[in-house]
Amino acid sequence: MAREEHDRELWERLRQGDAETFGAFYRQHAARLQAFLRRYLGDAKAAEDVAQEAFLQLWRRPNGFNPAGATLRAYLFGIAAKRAADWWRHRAREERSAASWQVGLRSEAPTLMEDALARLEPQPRSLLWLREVEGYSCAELAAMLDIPPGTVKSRLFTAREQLRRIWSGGRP
Amino acid sequence: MNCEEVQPFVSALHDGESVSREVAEHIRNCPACRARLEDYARMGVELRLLASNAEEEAPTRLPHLPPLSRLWGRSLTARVLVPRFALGAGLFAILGLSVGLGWMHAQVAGLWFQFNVTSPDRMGSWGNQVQAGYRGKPAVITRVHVSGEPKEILAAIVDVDEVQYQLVRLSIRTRRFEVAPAAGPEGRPTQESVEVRPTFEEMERQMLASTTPHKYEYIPGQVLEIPVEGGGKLLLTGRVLDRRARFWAEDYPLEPKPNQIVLAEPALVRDKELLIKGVGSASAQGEGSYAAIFVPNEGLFGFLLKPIEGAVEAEAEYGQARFKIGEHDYVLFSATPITGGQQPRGIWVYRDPTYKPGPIGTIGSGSDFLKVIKGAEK
Repeated sequence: MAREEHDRELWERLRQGDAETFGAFYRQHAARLQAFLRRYLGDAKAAEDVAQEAFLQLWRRPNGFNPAGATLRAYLFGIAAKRAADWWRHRAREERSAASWQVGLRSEAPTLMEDALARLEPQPRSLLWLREVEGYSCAELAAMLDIPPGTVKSRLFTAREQLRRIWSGGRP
Repeated sequence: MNCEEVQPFVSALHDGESVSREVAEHIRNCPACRARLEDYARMGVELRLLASNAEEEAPTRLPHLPPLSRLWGRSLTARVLVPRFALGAGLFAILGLSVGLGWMHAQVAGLWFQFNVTSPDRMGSWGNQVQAGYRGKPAVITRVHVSGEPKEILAAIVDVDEVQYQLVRLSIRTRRFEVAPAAGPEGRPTQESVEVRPTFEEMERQMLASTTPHKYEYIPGQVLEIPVEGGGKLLLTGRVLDRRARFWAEDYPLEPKPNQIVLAEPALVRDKELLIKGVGSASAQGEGSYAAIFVPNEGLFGFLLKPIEGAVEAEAEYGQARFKIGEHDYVLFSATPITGGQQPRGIWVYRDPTYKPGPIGTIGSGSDFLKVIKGAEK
């Protein structure tokens, strides 16, 4: 079955409140979504909460999805990314010093990728993860995040440059 | 080209985009740019390794799924219990989720066509849900600016001849009108105003007399571009349902911007009394934007992003806004978030008990609320 057709059928079932279909969709994608959110948020509990909220939003408001556009999975990731961005905004307001670990883009020695990634700011970190790990194209990312494709590309470039500097220990 | 100019294209190339011959040539011959491309590739590999090495945690608890059909009753009887993540979806879930149920199995006879017409710059929109045989009255997309050009109205009369799941046959008359505010240049010629010449009745007469209805075969879900006689175009979107829908979400911004205000199928509750519900939708964008609903016997309630004299502050949180006027507690529900940005946030509410609506109806939006009120005082 073509992807679009499959997603449309899935979506129709969700719209009809088919909890079994929703459960299967959840089991299929929850772990990957949480893995993404753990990287984005750096907080396992928050990642779980945001993932739950994203799934619930899909359950409650399935009509936000356009089967002719992105995949249902991409739509879910898009919801989660926006909620995670809200979470960061909220947290930044509460705790202005939370971003202190973002300093030090140039270190003396090369850094392991895991550390390098953690030192990247949340937004570029999530964007790179969605692109490199989840494999979403620039067009899909643009649709998911409601930003123009050109912005996705320029943000990806900036994110790569930042990560590269940290990862390679400041090597130009 | 130098390396600095080429760098963004290295990223694009890594993403599989094509680059110009000149850029490709540079990358091929430049060790620094080649190194950058190789680093990007290694970074991608490292990230994927990281993901695959990470312990994949088993899915945590499946969220408790609220029974959708019961949401309405629950939120009406316990208004404060609409959970935060239900956001604007509260009303949507309540009013709308019955829409999709079983519509694939319906008989063709009773099909409804739900459509929306807007101008490409989205200066205004209107919609309706009708059945085959519907003969439209003129509906207008106002393009009337208070100052400066253009001062025009794009009017359309949509007749729905036949409704099938995959095809809707329409006859549409269109006409562009130059209009002048009836009350002078500082009148109320914005979207909520109808005091223009020609009047709607005159427009209708002229259109029925002198425009030819054009036949369209519309495929639900597509965007139909309708050229307007006299210049301009309108865009029609629609869908076919087996029952009359209570709600149509697709046209509302589900994630409004911070400078946007949206009322989507709004309901207004005063204390425990439901004053009005589901009257359409209106949205406006810009610092001075407002959306307003008219409640018979109560007057006009304008919801504004910026305060004006006499307005009270409301706390808007996604699809709800709470405010107090006099002794009364009000809650405005909207099917989608009322505005964007950090939630909750303050918006302002102005009630004009003396306002009399024009024939356009009970919901409107625009960028200058003071003009609406002033217009009503005339």
